[in-house]
Amino acid sequence: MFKMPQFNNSGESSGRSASANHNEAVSELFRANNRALISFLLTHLLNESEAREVAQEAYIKLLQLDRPEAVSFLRSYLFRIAANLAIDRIRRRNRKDRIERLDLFDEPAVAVSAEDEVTAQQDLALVRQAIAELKPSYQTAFAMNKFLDRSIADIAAAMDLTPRMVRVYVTRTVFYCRLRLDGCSQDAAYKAMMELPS
Amino acid sequence: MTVNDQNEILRLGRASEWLVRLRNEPDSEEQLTAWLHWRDQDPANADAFRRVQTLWGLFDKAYPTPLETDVLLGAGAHRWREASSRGSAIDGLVRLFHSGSRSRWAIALACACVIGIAAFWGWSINEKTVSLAASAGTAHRTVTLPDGSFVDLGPKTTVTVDFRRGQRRLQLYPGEAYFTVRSDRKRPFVVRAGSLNVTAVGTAFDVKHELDRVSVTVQDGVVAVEAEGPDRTQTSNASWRVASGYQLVYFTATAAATLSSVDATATIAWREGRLEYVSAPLASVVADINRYSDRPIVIRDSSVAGLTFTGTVFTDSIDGWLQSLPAALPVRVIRESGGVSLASIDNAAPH
Repeated sequence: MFKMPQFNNSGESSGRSASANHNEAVSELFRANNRALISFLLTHLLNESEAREVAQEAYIKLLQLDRPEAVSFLRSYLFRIAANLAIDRIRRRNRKDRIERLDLFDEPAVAVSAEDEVTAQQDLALVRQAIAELKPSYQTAFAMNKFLDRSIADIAAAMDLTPRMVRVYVTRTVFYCRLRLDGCSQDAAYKAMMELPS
Repeated sequence: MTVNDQNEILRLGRASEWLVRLRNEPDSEEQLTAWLHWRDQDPANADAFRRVQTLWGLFDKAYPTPLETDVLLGAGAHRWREASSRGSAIDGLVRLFHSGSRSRWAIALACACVIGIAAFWGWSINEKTVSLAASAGTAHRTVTLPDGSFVDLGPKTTVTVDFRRGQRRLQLYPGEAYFTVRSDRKRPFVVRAGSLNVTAVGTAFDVKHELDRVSVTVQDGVVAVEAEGPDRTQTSNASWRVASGYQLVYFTATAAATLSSVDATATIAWREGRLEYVSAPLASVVADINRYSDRPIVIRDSSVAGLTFTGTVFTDSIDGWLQSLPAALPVRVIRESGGVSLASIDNAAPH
């Protein structure tokens, strides 16, 4: 797989000081924000390797930028470019691609032991159980956002809810499942979910 | 692991909120800054976010097919699924027509040109063979044929069109082109590339003609591919049928072909200015890129030619790709007055 660039532009940037400065700034920006960027991209994409591909594309786009004003400006620009590239990808693929991609690229980097495999299967069963414990309207709002990539506004219109409520439903679903996966009881997780300030 | 600490629980709550916000408003700059600030504030915040993210990925594995997600979507599943696909298509159109009067005029003008060309062709094409060509500068060029079919020409690509005597015969010289064929059972649509004949009835497919091979990728429908014998007689020694989602690669030297399942969308992304690769030999990536540029990239070492590349090349940013390459692969980019060459980092030859 493609490795995230390390950006040690050794040796070949001599004699092009203006653009070399820019390249240096971009490299520095990536070093400082790499983890945050990958983390951000993972909210949109399916796995780490895809997030890394998009991060690399964003890097290239940023190198094209003529006159960067300041690194603080560059940082938000970097995330915006990355977000746009990620959204382009999502638009281009349909559900089938999504599944193929999951199969193809989500191979674990190290061999998984039988024990890990059992734990993983248990986690998946727990996730399904946790979702089933929630109200149907939570399930629907969540699935439309997560699996059909529908916008909050679209879901609100389809379900006759306010956008704020849709966002609360989706957030609560994620929060509740995380707590259940971490061993919280049904009651404790439900209580925490309802108390979440929003 | 059990979460007992009330602070930890709240933190996961915040992390869940951030994830849903970032996902749904990815381009809000204010929000992004606030999220980065929150994340940098405390390593525990970053960790909580990572854990919520892990769960977000688990959902895909817990519900891998539409069949399973339909259970969550409930009674309205099918309605919503359909609305979803229709919605996105309409979005595109709405965007197109809201992007200002200038582009509307451009569309109108483009339509007028296409109609004009088609009308002109209507009489001229039946008389003689017409040659279509695109240069390195043009990203790609779409041409409407008199039968309503389309040809998208790649850069530095020439296709000749012969519609005489009620037939549809095209020849692709080294380069790449994408064909969207209007169905006509009486007149098979035949594209000849080297010693291959690719025949379609009504379909969409891509043909890439390289020095040592010809690749046929089918996006829609079925095509028949026929290789001519070495003596160039019409009696072919081999033929294949290629269905949508498959790619046939024919190697000229051995007259052998491989057939494999591919992501046809990635293969034809060049029409939108992207070259997408999964584990492709660097030599063929460079060969593609060189068609987009007047300053060819030269590979100096054979070890570099055999490196594999995965990722995307934007055809409007070949220089950016070159700059990022040494960070990703063990190569040196050497810029000289004559052009750019790629060398292995192992052979640190002075120059």
